[in-house]
Amino acid sequence: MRHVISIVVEDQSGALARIVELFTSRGYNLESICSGEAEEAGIHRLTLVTEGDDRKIKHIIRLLNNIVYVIEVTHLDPTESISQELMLMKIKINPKIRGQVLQLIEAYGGIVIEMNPDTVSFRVLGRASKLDGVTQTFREFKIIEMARTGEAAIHK
Amino acid sequence: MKKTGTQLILDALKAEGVKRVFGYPGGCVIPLFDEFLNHKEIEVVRVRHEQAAAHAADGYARVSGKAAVVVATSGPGATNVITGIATAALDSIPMVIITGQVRQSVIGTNAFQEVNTIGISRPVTKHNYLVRKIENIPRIIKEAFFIAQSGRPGPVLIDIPVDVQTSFTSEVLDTETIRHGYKPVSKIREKDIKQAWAMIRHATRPLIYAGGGVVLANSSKELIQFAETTGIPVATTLLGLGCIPGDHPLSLGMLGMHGHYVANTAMARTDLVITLGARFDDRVTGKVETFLAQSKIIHVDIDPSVISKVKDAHLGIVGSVRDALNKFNKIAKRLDIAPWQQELELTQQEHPLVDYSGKKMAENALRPEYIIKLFSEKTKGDAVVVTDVGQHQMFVALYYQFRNPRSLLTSGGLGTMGFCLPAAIGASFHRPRKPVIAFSGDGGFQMNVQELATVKRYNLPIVIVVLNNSNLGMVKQWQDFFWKKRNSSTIFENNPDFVKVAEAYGIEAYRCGNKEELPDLVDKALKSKKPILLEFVIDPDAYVYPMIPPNEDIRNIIEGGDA
Ligand SMILES: Cc1ncc(C[n+]2csc(CCOP(=O)(O)OP(=O)(O)O)c2C)c(N)n1
Repeated sequence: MRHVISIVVEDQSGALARIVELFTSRGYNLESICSGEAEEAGIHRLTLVTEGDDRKIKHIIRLLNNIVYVIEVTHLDPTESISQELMLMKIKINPKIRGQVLQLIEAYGGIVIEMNPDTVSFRVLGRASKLDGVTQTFREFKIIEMARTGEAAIHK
Repeated sequence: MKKTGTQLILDALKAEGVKRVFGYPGGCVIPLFDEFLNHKEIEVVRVRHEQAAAHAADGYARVSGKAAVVVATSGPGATNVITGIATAALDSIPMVIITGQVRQSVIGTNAFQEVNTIGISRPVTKHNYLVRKIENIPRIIKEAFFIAQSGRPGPVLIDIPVDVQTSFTSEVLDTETIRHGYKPVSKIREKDIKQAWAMIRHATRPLIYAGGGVVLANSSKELIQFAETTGIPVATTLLGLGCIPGDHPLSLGMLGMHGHYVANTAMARTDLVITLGARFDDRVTGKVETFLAQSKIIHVDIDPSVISKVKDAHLGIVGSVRDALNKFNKIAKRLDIAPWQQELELTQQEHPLVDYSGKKMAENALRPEYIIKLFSEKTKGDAVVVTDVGQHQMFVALYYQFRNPRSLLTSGGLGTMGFCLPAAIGASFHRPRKPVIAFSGDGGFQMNVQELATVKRYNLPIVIVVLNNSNLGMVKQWQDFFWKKRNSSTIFENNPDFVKVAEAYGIEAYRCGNKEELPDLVDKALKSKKPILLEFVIDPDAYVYPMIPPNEDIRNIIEGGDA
């Protein structure tokens, strides 16, 4: 099952390493990590997305709570949280497909950031599942480069 | 007045009441060791290997209940302490480790004797710090002791670059410790205690499963009171031994792979287990699927991550075992469980430990069980007993009758060979008014044998016992039982002469291979006010019984009795 975990943590060196190690040392992959300042200065909020056995994830969450720098851990319920992710993508275009690509970008609510005769760079915002769909669609063209921030999530 | 980093370190250690550190010098801690010369109130116990420094601090903490300090240099010094740190971590032993680090300007360049100590130690420490600013030293040391000793105890490492040690400060020092997220102890809710008591009252075969947490929480008295009031029998883990006297009518002995038959039977038969400061280690559970399959579980632990980790608890109570027992003791009443007590008594009578004073003894081959039993009787179960890892460790656990908590020092979680001698050194420095007896096998003894020099230097009155079977007994036992007796790499054909080894270090030593000389030698050793080593040449094919084969349950127990 997919798990979204939100962690409030002191902005201290070593904090992120301890968090990540709890997953990696058990063979879990982190699908995404999104980290940045939280409501209070010096405090960060991390959103982790991982895939795994419910029982083991529950145990990891308890272990996360044991990390000295960790202030709060929440196992986010998708129905009770808001999450968004940013994706940047650069596509190879030519005059023939240019119109079609721009239309698709617009259809996804994306915004073009840079346009050249043979490439277009744009951003799309949305839930991770939506961005998976966007990626799927644009695989029909040539994706030169893309990057995703990972989901950031807060309570509703 | 301007102070150096090393002065600040010493000030902070003194503020924590530290009287002694266990350490080994090297390039990146020369300034710190130099500073020790200016502070006679703190004794530096210089060992002969950094691993031993960590085990010594560990041994000191196990008897005293307080974190002890380890000092090691960067690079190889730091890597050498890792085994000792991991040993402490797995048994929840408080410890503060100070390592030197290369100067900040070269960190990350593969400088001479540089390793990423913070990275290497992270998984085996409760917390660790790289000190980058001198003014943080007082806060970090204060925090380190607090974190190491509170909640579920554990080791905390502080890595201090050599330039931070030698720099001067006149700035305002950082002493304020605020860790928003660190909540070491939760208060136990009365509601949970009431619910637990309701479950206990309705059980017909209740059992207390007591672990190292009972010892760490100094709650042995409270445990005994609870057991005696209710009449609930107590089975302990290896690390829980001593929290109830071995000869107490309610004590069932040790659980697990080599545990007492009656303790493991009780675990298989109980309908409600009250788990206190134990963590369902696989050496206790055996096959998890059948373990406690019919039983309800109440699990009390200070560390919420332990509860329901292996087995789902029907009621998990987060908090100190001591707090829980105190609350239980306020409402506990005698339970009507006589049939259960009688059932266990009968099991006990029908399945006692094998008594080796019989046939083999008649042949005069020295059985380890007999040796341990003799030490147990002669010390009335009231010594500080330290073990290494292997068969002898289990013989001690089974045949030494511990009367007090904090009297068995053994590496339960990590199972670290080489633990015994240095841990005994640490224990001996705490100056218990009891003999310190260090039981090793011939394998483990050679893993920190150099510490005989430390024993001699400080003239520590440790009774060092080497149970020499000329093989790696525990591994050989597995090979003999489960690997068709193919003794790959487990036979020691050329052990040194242990008596001569001890004598070379200036330690009095005796060898004994028969039961006639045994009692006198044991008396002599226990009366000795200085270090003494006894080598016992024992039966090379003595096996530890009972044994539940790995990942099996009580139905497949091997009871032994080949005497
Ligand atoms: C550092 C380390 N290496 C290897 C082992 C694996 N091991 C467990 S018990 C054992 C045999 C110990 O032999 P010895 O010290 O002679 O004690 P005995 O079992 O014979 O009493 C070994 C090798 C270990 N526990 N620790």
